[in-house]
Amino acid sequence: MIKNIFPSEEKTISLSEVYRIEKSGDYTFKIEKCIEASLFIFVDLKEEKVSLNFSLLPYSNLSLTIVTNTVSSEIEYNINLEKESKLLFYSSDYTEKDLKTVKTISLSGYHSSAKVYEVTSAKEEGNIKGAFNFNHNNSSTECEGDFYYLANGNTSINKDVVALIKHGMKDSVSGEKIKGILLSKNAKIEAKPILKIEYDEVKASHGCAIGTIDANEIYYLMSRGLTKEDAMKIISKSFINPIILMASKNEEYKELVLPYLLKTIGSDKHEL
Amino acid sequence: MSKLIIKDLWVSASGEMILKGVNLSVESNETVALMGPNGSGKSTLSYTIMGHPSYKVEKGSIEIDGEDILKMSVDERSRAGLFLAMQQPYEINGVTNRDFIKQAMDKRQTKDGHIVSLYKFAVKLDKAIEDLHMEKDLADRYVNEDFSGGEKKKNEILQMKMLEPKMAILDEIDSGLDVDAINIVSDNINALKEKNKMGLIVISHYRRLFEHIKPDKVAVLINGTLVKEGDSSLLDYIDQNGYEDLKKEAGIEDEVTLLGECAFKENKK
Ligand SMILES: Nc1ncnc2c1ncn2[C@@H]1O[C@H](COP(=O)(O)OP(=O)(O)OP(=O)(O)O)[C@@H](O)[C@H]1O
Ligand SMILES: [Mg+2]
Repeated sequence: MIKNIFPSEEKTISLSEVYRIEKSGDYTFKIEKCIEASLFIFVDLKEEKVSLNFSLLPYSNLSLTIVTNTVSSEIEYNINLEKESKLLFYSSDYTEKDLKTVKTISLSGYHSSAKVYEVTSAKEEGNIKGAFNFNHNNSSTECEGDFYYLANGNTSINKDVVALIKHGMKDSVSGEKIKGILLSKNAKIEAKPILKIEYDEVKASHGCAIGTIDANEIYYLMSRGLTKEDAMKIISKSFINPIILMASKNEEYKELVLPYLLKTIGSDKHEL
Repeated sequence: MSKLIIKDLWVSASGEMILKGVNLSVESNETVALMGPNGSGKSTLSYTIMGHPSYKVEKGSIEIDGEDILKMSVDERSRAGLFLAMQQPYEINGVTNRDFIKQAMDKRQTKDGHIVSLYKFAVKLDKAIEDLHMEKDLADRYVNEDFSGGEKKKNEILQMKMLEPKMAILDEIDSGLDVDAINIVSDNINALKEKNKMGLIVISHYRRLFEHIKPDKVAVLINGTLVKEGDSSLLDYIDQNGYEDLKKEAGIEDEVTLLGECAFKENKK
């Protein structure tokens, strides 16, 4: 069942729930102590501004999937993790025009951890700006992120991924990988991985690669009969496959978001 | 009945002439063994037939059934019935074998409006995997990623079995295969040839492969030039004597690339 949540409302999540958000406002989701929950959210906006707040209480475990479809919007996610809580976060953003996102994961509790997989793309003339922040506010906190930016047509994508490890937060681990894929000549991607480390006993790695799809991969697929467009599409689709897989854990949600996920790779056909 | 004809083919890469006037033909149900020392241009010829963008045709023609394939895009060549099992197959992270082979098959059949059903496809894929003694999970793994050398080679033959080309070029399909795997792979190639009367250009450094896949003719490429064509007795000759005498006979000396052209003319006489 797809549920509604109203602006300024706070929901306590148990087990598995699906929400649809269409109006401007602040929304809050809470995962109680020791609870293991799955949350699937479809954010369908035109020109609204939303702020989604997630609070993971100690020892909780959240698997969060958010698919966003917008025209011109601003989105803010604030996720706070308390002691020993765990987050698995799959996020996909698609915009027809402009999108500004600020996503912040605060690892506030000892030994809290987050794993993130994010795909961002826009239609031909899109303009995406944003930042993804990881704040290691306690010791033994871990986070890992894979970021895929797909730029088509005249799209420009400008994103920072920032990991901040504060003084004294020993044994923390932070690893972020950015991959920007230029799907056309005029597309632009500017991605900056930023590491702010104020302490020595931590492990941190940042990687960033921006380029076109490998010509040899396209050649291989074409040599088996796929057209160049098909080849580029199937390779692009590989970037959203992990999100599709996650969304598939809730059949109703998958049906709801699949067309939008396919839009992110420039395909509105139901090819699955 | 199909025929692939290569005429006076000159090919360069990165500004350097690699093939210098190659003439070769293969028809349905025929197997041509293509041998030659390292760096002689065998893979270059294979890639050129399959339209790899790194190779530039300077002169000459390649036709299949009277159609100029040099005018076709890479995918059109594939759909026209050509297949290349690559010496070093590329890896594609994130794309599963199953997804990609299904799409490749769908492309092939849209002309007459029939797309192979998902069920029939799955049955055929399972059977092909079993025939090749491959691990079942290879179907759902990413194309060639983390495959062993031998698994990659088997994966090329798996695709060939699924796509059923008219003409296939097998570039060192035996490298990386263990003794049992060579038997299995050869049996599969022979069976498909038998079934579809497929024409084959088989490249290998080793006679052993040609004991399993019997060639109708043997061609030797040295320094970008086909210096000799003969029957399978040529295999024994190369096995025993290597390429030195053939090079001399053709007037080719190592490191003197310019001689390639002369050698070819001499050879033709
Ligand atoms: N893309 C390329 N750019 C520049 N030179 C190339 C390119 N591809 C091949 N060559 C050169 O052309 C020559 C022929 O190479 P090719 O790979 O065709 O040989 P081969 O006969 O297949 O050798 P092997 O038996 O070792 O596989 C070599 O000298 C090689 O370095
Ligand atoms: Mg080679």
